[in-house]
Formats: sequence, structure tokens, C-alpha cells
Amino acid sequence: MSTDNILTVEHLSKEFKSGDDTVHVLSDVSFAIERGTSCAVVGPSGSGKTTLIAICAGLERPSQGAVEFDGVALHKASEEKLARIRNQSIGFIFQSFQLLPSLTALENVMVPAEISGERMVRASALELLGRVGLRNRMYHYPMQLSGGEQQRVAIARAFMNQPKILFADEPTGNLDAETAESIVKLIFNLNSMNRTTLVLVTHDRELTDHADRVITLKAGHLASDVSKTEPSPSVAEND
Amino acid sequence: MITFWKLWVWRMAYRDSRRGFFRLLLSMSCVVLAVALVVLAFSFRENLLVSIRSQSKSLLGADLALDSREPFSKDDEKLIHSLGGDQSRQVGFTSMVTFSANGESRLVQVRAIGGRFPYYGALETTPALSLESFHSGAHALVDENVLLQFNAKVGDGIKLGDQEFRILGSLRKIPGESLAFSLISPRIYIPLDYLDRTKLIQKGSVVRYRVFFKFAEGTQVDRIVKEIAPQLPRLQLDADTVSRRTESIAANMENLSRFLRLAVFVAVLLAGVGVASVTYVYAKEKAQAAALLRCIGARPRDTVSVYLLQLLFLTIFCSAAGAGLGVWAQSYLPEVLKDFLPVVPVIEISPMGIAAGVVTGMATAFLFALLPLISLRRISPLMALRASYDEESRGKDPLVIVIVLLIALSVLVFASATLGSWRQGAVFAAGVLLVFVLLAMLARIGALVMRRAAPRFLTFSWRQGLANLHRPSNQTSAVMLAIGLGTFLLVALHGAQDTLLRQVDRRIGQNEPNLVLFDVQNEQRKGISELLSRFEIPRYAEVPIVTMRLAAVKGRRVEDIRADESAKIPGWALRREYRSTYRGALSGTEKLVKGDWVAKADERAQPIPVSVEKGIAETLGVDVGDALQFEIQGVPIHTLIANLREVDWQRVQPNFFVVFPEGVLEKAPQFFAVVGRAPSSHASAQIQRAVLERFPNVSAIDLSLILSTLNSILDRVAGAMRFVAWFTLLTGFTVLASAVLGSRGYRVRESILLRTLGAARGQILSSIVAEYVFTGAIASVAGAILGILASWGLSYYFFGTAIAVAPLPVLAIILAVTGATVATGALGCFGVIRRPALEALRAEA
Repeated sequence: MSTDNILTVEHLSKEFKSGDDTVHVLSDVSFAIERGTSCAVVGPSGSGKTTLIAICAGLERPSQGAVEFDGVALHKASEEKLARIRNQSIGFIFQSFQLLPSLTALENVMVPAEISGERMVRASALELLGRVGLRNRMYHYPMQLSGGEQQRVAIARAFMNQPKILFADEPTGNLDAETAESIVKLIFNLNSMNRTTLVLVTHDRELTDHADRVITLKAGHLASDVSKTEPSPSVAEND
Repeated sequence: MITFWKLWVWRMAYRDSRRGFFRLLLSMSCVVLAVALVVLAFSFRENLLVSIRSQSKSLLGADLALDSREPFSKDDEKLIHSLGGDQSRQVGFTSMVTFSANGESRLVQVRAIGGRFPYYGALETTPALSLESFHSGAHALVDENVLLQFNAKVGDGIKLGDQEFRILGSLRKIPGESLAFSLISPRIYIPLDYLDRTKLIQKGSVVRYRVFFKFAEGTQVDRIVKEIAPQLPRLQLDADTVSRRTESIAANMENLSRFLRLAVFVAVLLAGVGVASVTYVYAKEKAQAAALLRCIGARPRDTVSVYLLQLLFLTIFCSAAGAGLGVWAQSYLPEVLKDFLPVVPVIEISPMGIAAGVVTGMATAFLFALLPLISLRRISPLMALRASYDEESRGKDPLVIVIVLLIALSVLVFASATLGSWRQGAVFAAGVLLVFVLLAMLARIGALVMRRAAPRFLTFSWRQGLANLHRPSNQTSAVMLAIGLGTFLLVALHGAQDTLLRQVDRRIGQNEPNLVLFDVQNEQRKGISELLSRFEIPRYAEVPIVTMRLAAVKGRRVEDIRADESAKIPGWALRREYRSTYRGALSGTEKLVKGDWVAKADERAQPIPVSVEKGIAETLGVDVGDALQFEIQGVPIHTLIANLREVDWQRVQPNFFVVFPEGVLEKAPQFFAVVGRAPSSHASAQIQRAVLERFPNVSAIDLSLILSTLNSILDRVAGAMRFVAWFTLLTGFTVLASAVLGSRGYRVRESILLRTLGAARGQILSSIVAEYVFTGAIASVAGAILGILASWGLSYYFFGTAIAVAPLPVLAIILAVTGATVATGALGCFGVIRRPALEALRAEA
């Protein structure tokens, strides 16, 4: 495996039991993502996109295959180790924002750093809120913010621990077109400023256009892997 | 498993609790009540023990008392004189009293007192009196219950035997005796100087002679008793000291306190169910947040710790509030139990009671909260990505089994420690568990049946209300269990009381005797017979009674048995005066269970074959073929147990421990009991009045007296138990309130949806009312069914009779509980339907 790859997936499969049947969500998926790049994972509903990033982020374990993140075999790591990696090296942005409703915007941003045991986190959280344009809304609770504002807070939180990789699951899925556009810009700006690797699951054409690479899943199989800079030699486009 | 030392856990717990904390606090109100009850029960015990210790001397009223069932002999008097100190005498016996104002009469316990007794404490009377004024004439102090019953007042006259007395005061409290005692045997005090003028002490009268001593300060009374102890059995005397009386009263009060603590513990368990129910909803609400925390790197145990810490602080807060409430309410408990307390309880803040309340409350809340909260430990971070994440792959959590076992063990330890026996503790714990499981099952079945069998003509609101019982997070089972348990206790209590009363009433059938005149002397028999004929009261029997004392059991002298500390026969069975009879056949209330009946015997052919009642035989540890020696006025009579009998003591007629065959006791000193049947209570009162006028020494017991006495006692006992039942019910309603508050979010969303679909506010309100009508009705009917079953169990196994529960009071309980459920539920939903749909939609979005 190349040392430039932050994430390497090899022969990944995931099955679920549904009654007496076995559902194959992912079958023999392999790819690698280079450090500092952005990658969009696309595909129709039920193609296994969310399961793929859940496994890549150490939220789920594969049935078969291997996942290596920054030199650590996630499929073998203990739950404790996975928690530490998620906290210190991975950021998440969700379709439904997932802010803690009982915490203010500022506190929501501070949470990841506090979990890692850092003390003086307020200044960094405020700076991040400033960068997403919500410094004046820091004491507002999620229910007092619009959808776009909530997603900005979620983005600020995702960058709080300066992650090595950022996973975004349909980050614009719950937003109107205008707000979605500004969120896309924000994610990519912060990504480039922080030199973070970005993996996003999306249906949004604009987001796909911004990504360096597009991986397409169909019925759990890797259907295509297209790089904007140079075509992938290993996987041919099936469609 | 818990990581309370991490700073972020504390910060997160604090921040997360700022919103919705008050609602959660209200939801935990059952803990406040449970802690208050524990503080109340434990403080009561502490205060009672302190009171008994501080009022120990007044419990006896003297330093020492010596008792005899016969007038003190010369030897007795010699011993009494040798002990010195200030002495007072008391003669006690039962007799009829007639109230001059209305001519009514009843059986009472007469105590003729002389000297300066009581030396410690006082006979509390209204108006307050000095001993001098009491002894200065033919005065009487009468139990206030009797004065109320006969509508008599201070200043009225009463007649005891041949002597008239003036009521000088009503007796409110007698040192060392509870008020409940006066219900069974009301007391009248008269000056000893006037006893002879009553002419009530006659041959065969059961009299207790007592002498009270007051010694100089610093006298070692226990040492004196130790010194005279060897002489007491020979002289047929009993000694009672302050320490013995204190010990005996403390033991009785410990039993009362045990009952209270166990009853309170049931309420605590109920509160635990409430906490588990609230926490379950809470954990569900927090599942998404927990998943997110996991997503951003929180460890499972940290995530659980955040919410556990909140619950812990809530519990501390509720426990403190409960302790405060318990301390405030403790002055009311002695008021409820005053009839059963021999001392005036001192009300003090009891640190032990508060500690017990807080520890029990916190441990219960913590354990029951842990049960649903530990599920957060296994929340997958994937839930943040996908709310519909299928969790079935997670399997069963072994920690849940550990916590359930821990709860069961706690219940067992508490019950065993309270009852002082592992076996009894296990039976109690199993009983509580059985009631909980049965109630939950009945309520669940009820809800399912109602849903399936709901008539189609029900309107939308009623159908919606019924469907709401199955709403997610509605905690229907927990609520029904909580309400059902209170109803169960109320119905079971009512059933037991009803059954007992009706049992007595029913046994006195159409042709059964209902009146007994006893202490009839031989020369009075003819006169009594004439009186009965004149009042047209059929005479069923004239039973001879011979009083005797037990002298030896299986060849061993009673004195020796009493002196032997390892002997298992209780003192009362050895000391008592045996009132025996003789006849040739079994009576209608008896059944032979072992041996052969002997109808006739020769007095010269001792040992005499006798029949012994089964219960007293067990107490004395004797069986068929064993020897018993009696003494009739000093004359020994050797007997051999020929058979054992079972006696139905509940019939209104004289029953006996020992029955002799004919041909033995005919010439012994004896008196008679005359058994008859009065056609009405009025006729019974008339004949009693006539008998008393002519034969003042004769006493009477009739059915109405038994029923009214039993009713008064059961009323008092049931009143105290009902207090606990109402508290349990109240805890049930706090569980309901908690569940309503816990599911408020669901209700708001539901209300919005229904209104969006065009439902009117009235329809939504009706569906809420319908939901609680169903909840209350199903739970209370389930509780009532179980209560009736428990009454049946009590009737069948303990009272040996058919169950008799009046349906109307049960129906009233069901209606009252259902009404209170609707009120509590509707109150908890206040504001749900008043919120504008748009505002609510925004808030819930």
C-alpha cells in the first residue's frame, strides 16, 4: 500500500441477516484514497454508500476484507481505539446536522475537544464559529437556528479537532439550493485550509463536481472509480 | 463501567441537563415520595424507641408490680411487706356497667385502685384530675370510647354491681396501654375503698390482684426481682418490672414498625418502577445524542456516565426533598397510629431515619435507572448516520441480568433484615414479585383484550384513546402496575375486613345462640331461668364452669417448668386460670380430632380421662395419653388426655380448653353460663338490663357487642393500613405523572399531526380523557381482581370461611381510582393542545 494513502479498503464485504435471508450490502469493494484529496461516493439509494463510509470511519465492522486508516487496521481495532481515532482523526458531517439539542452552538463545537480532554477549547471553538460566520449566534440553541446555520455549526464541530479525514453524509440533503451552495463552498474551503482528506456521500451534482474523485456504487459493488486528474487504471467504468 | 472523573462528562451532563431538567425533576417526584415514606417509617421507629426509653417508668407506672390470680395469701403478704417502699393495690376484673342516664349496659374491665398509683406518668383524663379528688368519693374514670358509645358524659352516674358511681373524668390515656386495647376491653377505674360495696367479687370471678411498688431513688429493682424470683412460682406470683415492660412494649412496637417499613418498601419498589419507566423514555430520547457522542469519539462508558450523572444528581435532589418532606410529615404519623401506641411519641429529627431514606431512595433510583440507561452503552454510533439502524444484532446485554439480580438481592436483603429471617424475607420478596408480575400481566391482557374487543361504534376519540395505550414510550404497563398495586391493597383490605365481619355474622345462624350470661351462681339459676321465660328468650344450655389451675404437665411441676429458662411453654398457659366444664357429649362447636371421647368417669378412679382443645395441647406440648395435673382450690386432680378436640371459637357460646367427663366435677365449687337466643338486639338489651337489675354480678356478651368490638378494632387496624395503601396509590399517581411528562413530546407531535389532519381540539382532549379512562379502569379492575383473589386466599386459608366482599365499595374504589387517574393524566397533558400547531411544529422540528 502506498504511504500517500490515508485510507485503504481491500476486498470489503458487508452482509446483514434479515430473518432467514442474508442481505449483501457491500461485495468485494477495494479502493484507496490519497491524503489531502476529496472523494465523492455516489450511487442510487440502497447501493451501500452510507455503510461504506460507516465502515471506513470505524463506526461499523466489515464482514470480510480490510480497512486501513492512517496505518491502523480499523477492522481489527478495539472499540476503545476506534473511539480515540474517531475523536482525534476523523470528522463527521451529517445530513440531519445531528447537533445536541441541549447545547448552545458554541458548546456543540467544543464537545469533540472536550472529549479528548483538552481544557482551553473555547477560543478555538469561537474562531471556528467565526469562520463559519456564526460567532454572533454562539449562545443560540439548535432549535433557534435555521437548517443552514445548524449545518454550519456541525461543520465547525467537525473541524474542531483538526481531523485527518472528514466524512460527510449527504451534507446538503436537507437544505435548499442556495444554502446548499454556500455549505458546499464552506466545506471545500475549510478542507483546503486544513489540508483534510474529504470523503462525501452525495446525490448533489455540485458537490460531485467539486470532488477530485468520484466512486460510484451499484448494488454494493464498485461500479466506477473516476479521478478528475487521471483515470483510475484498476477499475473501468461499467455504465 | 462508570467514568465520573472525566471533566467533559461533568460538563456535558450539566449542559445537557439545562433544558428539560425541570420536567425530568417532576418526572422523578415518585422518588421524593418514596424517600419521604422511608424517612417517615424509620424516624417513627427511632422516635418510638426513644419515647419508650424516656417514658419507661410510666409504662408500668411503678418500679415493680406483683400479680396474682387469687387474693394475696399470708405468705404473699409477708413477701410484699418485706419488700418495703411505697405500695398501692389494684384489683381488676370484668363486669357489666350500667349507664344511669339511658339504662344501657356493657361488659367492661373494672380496675379498683388504691394508694398513690400511678407513681410515674398519669392517668390522662378530661378534665385533668388529682388522685386525691378521685379517691375522695364513689367516683369513676371511664374510657372515652365507652362514653362516646353510650352518649354519656362527665358527671353522669354509672352502676357497678350494687354501687352507684359518678363519672369524674373520661380516660384518654393509660400509661403503657394503647387505645386499641380499650376497644377490646374498655376500662373503668374506681377507688379500691368502694370495691366491696359493688359486691361483684364472688365465687368463680376471674380477678387479678396487683400490688405496685415505688422504691427509693437508686434502688436496684432488677436485683430485688432476682432475689425473690425463686419464691414467686411457689406463691403463684408474677413480677413485672420497668425493664421487662419496656422490653415487651419495645418488641410489640418493633412489630408495628416492621409492618410499616415493609409496607413502605413496597412503595419504594413502585417508585423504582417509576424511575425505570421515566429513565427508559429518557434513554430513548437521548439515544440519538448518545450515538452522536460515540461518533465523535466518546467511549461507551463515558456516554452512559453523562446521563447517569444527571440521574444521580436528580436522585440526590429528590432524596433531599423527600427527606425534608418526611421530616415535615413525621408529626402526622403518630396521629394515624395513635390508637396502637402505648407511649406519647417524641417527635425529633432522626438522623438515622434521614440516612435510611436517602440511602434507600438513592440506591433504588440508581439501580432502577441503571437498567434502561446501560442500553446507551451499546448504542451504535451508526444511529447518527441512520436513525432506523437495526439494533437487533446487538443481542441480550448480560449487564441487564446482573442489575436485575442486584435489585432482587437488594429486595431480599432489605426484607430479611426487616423481618429478621432469610426465609420470611424470601417469602415476602417472592410475594411482592408475584403481585407485581400478576398485576402487570392482568393489566397487559386487559389492554390487549380491550383493543381487540373494542366495539366498532366507539367514536374516533375513544378509539384513539384506546390506541394510545400502545403508544411507544407510553409506559402503559408501568403506570398500570403502579395504579393497580394501590387499588389491590385497598380492595384486599376492604375484602379482609368484610369477610371477617360477615364470617362472625353468618355463623350466628337463625337458630344459633347469640347471648351468653356468665358468672351465674348456683342460687341464681332459677331466677335467671324465670327472667328468660318472661322475656320469651329460649334457653339453649346451662353450662357448669369449674375454675382450676394447672399444677403439673407430664409429671413436671408448673413451678419447675416456669423456673426452667429452656422450657418452651409460654408463661400464660401455665399461669392462667382454666375455666373447665364437664359433660357427656361433644357440643355443636366441637369436633374430635384424636383419641376417644369418654362420656362418664369415676372421680375416685384417677387419673381422670379429659378432653383437651387441640391448640392449647400444642402450646403445652402434650398429646393423647399425656398426664396433666390440675388443682381446684388446692385439691389436686390427676388427669390423662383421652382425646383432642377442634373448637370453633367464633360461635357465641362458652367454649373450653379442658372438658371433663360426667361424674367427676359435679360436687366441685362451680358457677354457670346460660346460653340463649334473643330475637333482636332490642330484646337482648332488655333482658341484659333486667338481669343486671336483679343479679348485678352476672355479665353478658351478645352478638352485637362482639360485632361492634370487632368492627371497631378492624376499623382502626384497616385505617392504619389504608394510610399505607393510599400512600402506595399516591406513589402510583406520581409514576403516572412521570410517565405522562415523559411521553409529552410524543403527545405534542401526535396532537400536531391530528390537528394538521383536521381534528378539533375537543376531539384531541376527548382522546386524552379516553386514554386515561381506559388506563385507570383497566389498572383498577386488574388491582381489584387481584385484591379479591387475595381476600379469597385470606378467607380460605386463614379464616377458613367463604369470601364475602360487598361489591359497591369495590366499585367505588375502582371509580375513584379511575377518576383520579383521568385527573392526573389530563393535568399532565395541560397545554399540549393549547400550543399553536405552527409553533409546535417549529419547536419539534
